[in-house]
Amino acid sequence: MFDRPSPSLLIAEARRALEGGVAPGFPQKVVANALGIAQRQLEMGPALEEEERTRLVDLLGPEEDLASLNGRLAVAIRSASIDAEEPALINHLIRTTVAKLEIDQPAYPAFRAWRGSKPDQA
Amino acid sequence: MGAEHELADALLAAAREAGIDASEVTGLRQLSGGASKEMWAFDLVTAGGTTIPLVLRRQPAGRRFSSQGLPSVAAEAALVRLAEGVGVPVPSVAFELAPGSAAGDGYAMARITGETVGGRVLKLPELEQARAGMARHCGEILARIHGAGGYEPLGLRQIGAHEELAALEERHRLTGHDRPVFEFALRWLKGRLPVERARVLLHGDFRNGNLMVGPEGIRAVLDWELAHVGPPAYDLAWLCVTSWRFQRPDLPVGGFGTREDLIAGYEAAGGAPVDRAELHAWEVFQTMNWGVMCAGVAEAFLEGSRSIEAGVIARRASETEFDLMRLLAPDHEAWNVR
Repeated sequence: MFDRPSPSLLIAEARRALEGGVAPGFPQKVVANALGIAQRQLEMGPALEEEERTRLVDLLGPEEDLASLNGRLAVAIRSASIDAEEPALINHLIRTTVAKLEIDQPAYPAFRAWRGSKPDQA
Repeated sequence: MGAEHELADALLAAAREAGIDASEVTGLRQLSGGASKEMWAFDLVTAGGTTIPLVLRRQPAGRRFSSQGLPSVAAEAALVRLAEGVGVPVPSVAFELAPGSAAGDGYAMARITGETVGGRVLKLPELEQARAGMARHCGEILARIHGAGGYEPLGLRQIGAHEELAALEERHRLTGHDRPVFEFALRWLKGRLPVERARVLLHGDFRNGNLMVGPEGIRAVLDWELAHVGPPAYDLAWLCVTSWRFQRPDLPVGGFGTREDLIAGYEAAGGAPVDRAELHAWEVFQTMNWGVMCAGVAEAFLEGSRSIEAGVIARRASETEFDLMRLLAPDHEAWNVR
């Protein structure tokens, strides 16, 4: 489940900034970043969220919408009703986090470094 | 501009009140203005004709003070003086604005030059020499801050590991957004964040970005407004948070050095021996701390504090989730899958 603000809010804010005039350099980069997040989420978000939902159903059972599944997972971790060492749980958290970075910040240096150090795909 | 004339006059009066034989304020210009604090550069000309380059840090009269640490901007000056007294490089305080001053609440300090932008500190070729010794120097500086006494009259917030963790959890809950990774980190921390052996004076925001650097090394430690009293590892770990390493995630200390150098400098300068497991636990805490700050920006955005910058910062919470999973499950096989 991706974070807020939603793509439409990011686009609205970028548009508002552009209407007001954006200085070159860093301020322009910020607007471009916001639009990049929105674009990536619109393009890749639905498929990534479907994968996330499938993993959550495997972990927690009966399917619901993504928000309630995430709510249930949060409660399960907090109340220790799920084993914190459970490999499937950690697998889900890592996969979901990687998906979020794909959308939010694929250029985050630590993310890029991990990417670059990964074994080549067969 | 009338307002600037008034400010110049108020500065001149404050300088004279502090016993400086000042005849004129010249070259007054605003450097930056945040939501509450402003920075102004100016020159103080003495009766003898000497020019003293200064910077004013102030909150204009009538604005509400917003800090988690100190009671006022002027109170920060006392802390900066204290830090200077124990050998911490800081911009020396020239004078404070008296309570009720027309110029507001604040103080004037020496205007020094150097690089403060984190990414540039790591990239500029002329700072290469400085970078080599910076992790150790940070350790020495932190040991001096943590060893300082006499801060009791400043009325700083005191908060230990247990309360810090409860407050972090509370702040996360207040965002109203379910984050399984933060829950996972909280559960881990509850079993592992050790109670501190001692509480010391902390800078509270000691990281790359708040250090002014020149070719010879660290010239000044800036931004003291989050100073408080608590566990020494709080400062050491904040400096190591991955987000403050900018383009160099491979160098854990600010993107410029190693934990070994940081700890060696800290212990050599009289800091209490650093327990690596404790430091690791605090790095987890501080990574989530930054994440909760970003998540808080998201909530503020949705409640109406909208700006493009806030929108982008809000979407940085996930970088801390990535860093938390790297810290908490570095060897899990999921990392090997595309």
